[in-house]
Amino acid sequence: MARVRHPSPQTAAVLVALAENGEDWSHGYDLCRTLGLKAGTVYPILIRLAERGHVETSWETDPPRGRPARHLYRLTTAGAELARAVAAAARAAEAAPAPGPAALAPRTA
Amino acid sequence: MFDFLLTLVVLAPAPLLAIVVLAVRLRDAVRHGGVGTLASRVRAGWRDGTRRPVWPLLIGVAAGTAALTFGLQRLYLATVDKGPGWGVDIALLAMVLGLLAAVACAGLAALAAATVARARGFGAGTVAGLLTLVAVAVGTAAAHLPLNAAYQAEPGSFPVVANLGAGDLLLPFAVFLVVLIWALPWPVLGAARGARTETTQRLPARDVWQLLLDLATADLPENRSAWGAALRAELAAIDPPAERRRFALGGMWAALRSGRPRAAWASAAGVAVLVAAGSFAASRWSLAHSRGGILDFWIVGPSVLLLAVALVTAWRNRSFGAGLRAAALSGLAALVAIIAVGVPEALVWAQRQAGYLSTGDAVPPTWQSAVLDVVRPDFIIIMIVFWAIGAAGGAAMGTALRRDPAGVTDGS
Repeated sequence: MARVRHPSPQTAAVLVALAENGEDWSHGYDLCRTLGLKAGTVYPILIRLAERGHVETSWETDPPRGRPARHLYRLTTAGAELARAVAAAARAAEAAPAPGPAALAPRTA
Repeated sequence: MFDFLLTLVVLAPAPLLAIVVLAVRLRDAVRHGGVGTLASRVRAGWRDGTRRPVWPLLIGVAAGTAALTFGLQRLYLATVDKGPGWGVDIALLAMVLGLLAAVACAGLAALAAATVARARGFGAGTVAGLLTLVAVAVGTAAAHLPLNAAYQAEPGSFPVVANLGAGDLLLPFAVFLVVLIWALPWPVLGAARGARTETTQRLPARDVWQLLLDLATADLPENRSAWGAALRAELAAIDPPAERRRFALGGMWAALRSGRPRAAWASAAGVAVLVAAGSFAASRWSLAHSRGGILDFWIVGPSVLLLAVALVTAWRNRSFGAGLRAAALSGLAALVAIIAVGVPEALVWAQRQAGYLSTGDAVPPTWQSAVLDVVRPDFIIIMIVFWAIGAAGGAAMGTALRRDPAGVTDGS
């Protein structure tokens, strides 16, 4: 059985933001603005999620004249499942009593 | 044998590659336009390689180098006779720092050549890169030659250093000027790299943030190049200057974090094992045969290994930067291996009264001095200089041996 990793808060935020857009494509810069995260945080997360098959990528097909095509992102089916699991875990954590300092330990994406 | 390896494997690749690049470019120019157009192409290269903003920048480089050399000479003269008290040979340290500075100048000239070549073509880039080196040499000479003339005229008014010959006090600065000759091939190689990226139809840089992000993402490994293009395209869609700055800085950080090629850790571990085993073997062989220390091995052995790592990585990833990044990690591993094996071996050498492990030239008075000899800053810097030369040569060869097919653009 594949090892299940708990995503970092930033990765969870990216997953949830992409899940909210459903089938629509998102831009990297819009994700940065929506989440209040820097490109140096969001893009490595997108790279990892894409390499693990949770995010699919594409290029704009008809960019405005004089501007290169932008990269687009949306969740794959596996990514949508992961996003649902992350959201459920977050809801469960909110509902549970205060877990103490151990729950604040950093996790990897 | 070490001298032969150093010359053939570590120092030769860059000049040979530059000669091949120039020969291929000349052949192509003659095929397309005939011999008669060569003179006009050279004139165009000169014109494009010097016009604004290049020439004001060259003047800035010359002035900056002159000011820096002036300050460094003052610092050197103020500290050179205090070295023995601090346990450091300041003259030797200055000499190896000069070598390191020459390597940095080669990088600067290659970067200048690549940047100009991207916008104005190979000839203009080569001219701009070579003139960058000339500007550095002119600036250094402008500050060094008057001081050297004063020293040669009246050496008594300058500090006296026991282990330097008569008239050699300012030798590190003269050596730097001579070693700059080693940097000459790098503008040619940088221009060739910049002219190649020109074919990927990138838009001209809109501001300094786009230029910086272009540079940071220009040479990512093949499996990351689409992400570099994604960051550049995203920046092109952002208009507010503060947002552009923030996004470009974040994008540069993302490129640095994500740019490490695959298998870099495995190469580093392999290099560490080989360097550790080689250091141990060289130490024991030198002890058994009463030879000198093993500094030669520390310089040449890892240089050859790093050249191989950089070459293979650059070749596999079609990326000069990927080769350099993998070699940097392997170089760090080599340094750790040298210290890990060197410290116990230095103690063995001291116990057997065989001299310092590095040079074998004198018996260390205490075990502490034997151990500290392994981490002498001047020896470590000279190792890093030659390792960097080997890595840069390997990365350049790897990139040249596996060029992108014509017309290929970044894409996912």
